[in-house]
Amino acid sequence: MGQSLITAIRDNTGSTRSRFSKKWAKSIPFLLMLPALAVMGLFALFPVINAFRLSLYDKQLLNPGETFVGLDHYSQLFSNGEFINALKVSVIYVAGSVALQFLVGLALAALLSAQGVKGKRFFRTAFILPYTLSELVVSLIWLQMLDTEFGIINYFATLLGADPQNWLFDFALPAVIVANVWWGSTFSLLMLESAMQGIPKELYEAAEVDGCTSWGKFVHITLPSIRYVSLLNMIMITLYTINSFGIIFVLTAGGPLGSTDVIGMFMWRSAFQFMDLGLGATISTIIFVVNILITFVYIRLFGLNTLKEGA
Amino acid sequence: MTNRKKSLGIYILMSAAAIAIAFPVLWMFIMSVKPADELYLFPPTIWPDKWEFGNYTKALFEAGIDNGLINSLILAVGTLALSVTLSFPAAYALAKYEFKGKTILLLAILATQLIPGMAAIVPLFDILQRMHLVNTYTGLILIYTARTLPLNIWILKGFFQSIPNELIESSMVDGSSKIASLYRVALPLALPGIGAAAMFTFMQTWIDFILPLTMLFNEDKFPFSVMLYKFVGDPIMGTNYGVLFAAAALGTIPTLLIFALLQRFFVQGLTAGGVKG
Repeated sequence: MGQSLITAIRDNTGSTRSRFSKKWAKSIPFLLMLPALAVMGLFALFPVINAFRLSLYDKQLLNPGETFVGLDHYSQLFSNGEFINALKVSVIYVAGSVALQFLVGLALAALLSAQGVKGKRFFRTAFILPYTLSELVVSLIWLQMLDTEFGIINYFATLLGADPQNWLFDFALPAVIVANVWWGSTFSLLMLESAMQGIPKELYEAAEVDGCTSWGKFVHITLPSIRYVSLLNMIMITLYTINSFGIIFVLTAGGPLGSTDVIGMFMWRSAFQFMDLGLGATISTIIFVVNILITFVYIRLFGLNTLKEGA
Repeated sequence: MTNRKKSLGIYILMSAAAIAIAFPVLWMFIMSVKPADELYLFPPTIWPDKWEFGNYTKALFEAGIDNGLINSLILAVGTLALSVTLSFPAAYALAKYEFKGKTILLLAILATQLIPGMAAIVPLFDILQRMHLVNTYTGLILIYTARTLPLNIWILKGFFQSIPNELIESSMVDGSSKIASLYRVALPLALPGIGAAAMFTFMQTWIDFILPLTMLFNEDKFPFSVMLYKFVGDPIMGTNYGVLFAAAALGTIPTLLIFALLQRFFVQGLTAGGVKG
């Protein structure tokens, strides 16, 4: 189909060699980017601005009317016990998820990078499996496995001599962290493993000559060599974890008694369950500001170049 | 001697990790073939006595997951087509032209990638409502496109940069424009890049759940993920875990297949673009 179009374009540009065509040539890159930038502008960047605008209004979900209320939502939020609770829960959820996800990913990456190990492809495939599932399927599997009466985790617990537990009630926050870590460690694993592959082999050989142990090599060569990628990875999973609540949505919906009520869950409930779009937008704005702050702190500490290189 | 001991230790650790990590996925498939009378046993049967493949036909045709799978496919393919079509010329411009503000633009594109979309769901609902796009696939596809464009542009830009300029210039005989050479020379060479970008776009769209749950109201429009979520709370479907897990398995098979066939791309793209979820 393209052949006639291409000839048409060629004939056209060929016949108009003038100052006009020079100007035209200069604008070509912008024309090429315009459609992509327009979609990103409207549906990725503008929402950030729109969240702030909406936060200044009283607006119900399905009602077109808006009333300007200024910063009322913000002052309202910071005296709201549920919001304060959501902040606390989020800090534990994010810190726990990020630390465990990173450590599990690091351990698996180190195992896969060990010298002289065969069957890496097989093991890597097994390690990546969770990542091919959707957030919903992940939640569904854990919901069933954690079931108090019929769940296989309680069966394993009894095999180990422990009593069956009501996991999603008594250990709700640790349980959702475990499910999230199980799903998310793959990402850290892949990023860290590819960084480890980039370390020159000569470094390890030299250390071997000096009689360095495996642990010594890991601490003195591997860890320092992957520090930038590690930091980038931690930033990315931090940002992602702050924003995600799909697993919690299905497993506990924030309960029991708010013990797993992360900020994203609280935001969704305010906007789409209690129909308060203005309040929901206020929480979105706060989440955006936190995201931007974390990114800036990172750039200040480690420089723009690591961002470019790491990505 | 110590070396052999050490690698034995590594194998034991890796095997234990592999079993622990893969088990929940296998468990989904095991649950999906359990007959109704084995679902509520304690201790649960690890290997079903009888395999009930009827769960799959029930999920597909009685519960209506077939409709959900088709809807998911429409959303994923629509996003794929739009996102790749738009990212292709943009990536070409960023790779092959010099202009003012290019570095800032590149960083801005990276930055949108760093700020994930969940917090945007509230303002996005308002935007779609004003454009009368709530409860439409068009609205969702535009949002997914905006989310996948940065990574797609990034991947494709890398591929274009690896194509030597001479190759493109040599094709520009007799006033053939750069746009023409873009399609004639660059397109075939960028196919692997387009493949990787397409795979990511497809997977990201296919597995999403909260966004369609929020933006779609009509049951017949639900993608499989939202349908499955509604089943969990359903008094009849919600108790039949066999059918539920068969539905989950059916929705997972496409992404598993893509992953199995394109694992090399998957790993490269994931680490190059640094994307998650």
